[in-house]
Amino acid sequence: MVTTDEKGPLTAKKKSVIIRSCDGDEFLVSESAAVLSTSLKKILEEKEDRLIHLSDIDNKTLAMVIAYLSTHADDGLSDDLKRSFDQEFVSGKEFDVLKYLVLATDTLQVTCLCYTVAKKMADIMKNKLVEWVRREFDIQNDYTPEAEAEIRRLDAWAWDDRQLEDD
Amino acid sequence: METKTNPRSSIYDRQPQNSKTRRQIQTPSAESNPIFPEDIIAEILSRLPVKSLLKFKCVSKSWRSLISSKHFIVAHLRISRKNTNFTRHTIISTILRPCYRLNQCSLQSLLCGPMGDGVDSYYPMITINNSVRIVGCCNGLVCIAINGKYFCLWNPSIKEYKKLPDVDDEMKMGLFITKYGFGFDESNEDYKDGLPFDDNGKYVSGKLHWGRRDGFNSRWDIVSFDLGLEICETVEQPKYVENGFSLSLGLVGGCLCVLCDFPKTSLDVWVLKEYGVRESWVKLVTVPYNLDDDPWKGPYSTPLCIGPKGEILLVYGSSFVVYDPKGNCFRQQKITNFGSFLEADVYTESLVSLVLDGE
Repeated sequence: MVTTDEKGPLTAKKKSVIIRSCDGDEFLVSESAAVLSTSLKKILEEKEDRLIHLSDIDNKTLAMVIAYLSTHADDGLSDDLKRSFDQEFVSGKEFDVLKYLVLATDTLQVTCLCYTVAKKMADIMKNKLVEWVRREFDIQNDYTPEAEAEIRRLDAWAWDDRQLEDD
Repeated sequence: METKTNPRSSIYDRQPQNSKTRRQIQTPSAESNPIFPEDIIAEILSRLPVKSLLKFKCVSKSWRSLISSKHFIVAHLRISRKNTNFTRHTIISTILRPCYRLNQCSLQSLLCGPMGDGVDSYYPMITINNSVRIVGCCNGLVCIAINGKYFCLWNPSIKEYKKLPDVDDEMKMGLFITKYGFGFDESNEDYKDGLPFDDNGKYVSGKLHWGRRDGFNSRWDIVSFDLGLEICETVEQPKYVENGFSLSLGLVGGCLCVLCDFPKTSLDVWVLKEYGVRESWVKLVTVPYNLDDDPWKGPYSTPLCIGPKGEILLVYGSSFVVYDPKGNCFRQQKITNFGSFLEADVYTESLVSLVLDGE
């Protein structure tokens, strides 16, 4: 059921919302930052609630998304600064972290961040082994060994000159 | 409980049984991996180079069918085209000596690097005696003319090609006929060669374009030919403020551009930012001629690309030049293994296949 708190301390602060992660942490976010997420914007337009519970985003991931939204809602920052923030934001992040981040951007519909994270993930993946990819995305190899060998044969030239990484 | 009118509000205390929910994500506290919906996988994969994608067809059957799907191929091409670092773009050029052959070079290394790395390009039907010219590039494909006789569609990124049906004898006159256009008929999903003109056609928005002057004193027009409807029209031009220049048509960053060349003075580059909207013509840059000790004094070619900081890559004589309008400075780009060349064109790497349609 939807949690509402009509008498909560937040009703006074019209320009803020509280977003709660699936593990119960709450984040105070300015409305201008929240509405950069298309999903949150829709919720805020439809309902008066100032508390939004996200049942599938954990606190660490949510904190990152909110940091991104707050930076992008800051009118004092130039586009150039925001662009370099984006680069900084994804640099050095582990693939595992990026996986949850990209899913969160999808749920929250934050398109720009989704593209930035997807790009970073692609950069990490591009020189990886097929086995690494299967492991990271938890994909079962459903080819027979013969079928797989045949596909490798078709584009054999694409396989020969790369230093492939497995970690 | 939840309103039925807005499926996206399902993130609001999403109920697992909500049929509108596109997918379910396992809670991240679990040790197992989250489940990725196909559109997110596509979002990630469409940012990979072609070579990686060819390998990742091996990941699983569903990945293979995703990577091979038309929808994905189109999305991948669209994203590759917009790559601002130009890592998905390659310059391809006809080299004159010792015989007509093709060389290519990464656009990124030419625009940003200290030196471009030119490599031989193994075009279809390559033999020691064949000479080759580029007709045009479009949607990741290169159209080449071999010995002025055969036309070939070729995707260098996936090493696929298709020989086109022979053209009329009338069109084969002369050894090197390259004044054709080459484009994609979006309505019928077919690639088409255009009609011979005085320059090769520029492909934008399903149409080929040529700059043309009918008679000696008549005005210069941009003529378009719709490859689907097969009709000709003219394209409205910018409101030039000056005169005394010669005009030519080009293509930069996927947009039509008009080059106004003031001989030995400068070159104005006008770009049609939004096709079909006359008001969207903008004068992007004025490139001065740097005439000191320059024997060539010839015009600049059509720009090959505009970098993220507004720098512009042009061909001048038989060399590549980068002009930075902010600092008003030139840089001549060295490139290995690239002698005198004729035309230079840019193609985007893509998965566009030429053998899909029952070939």
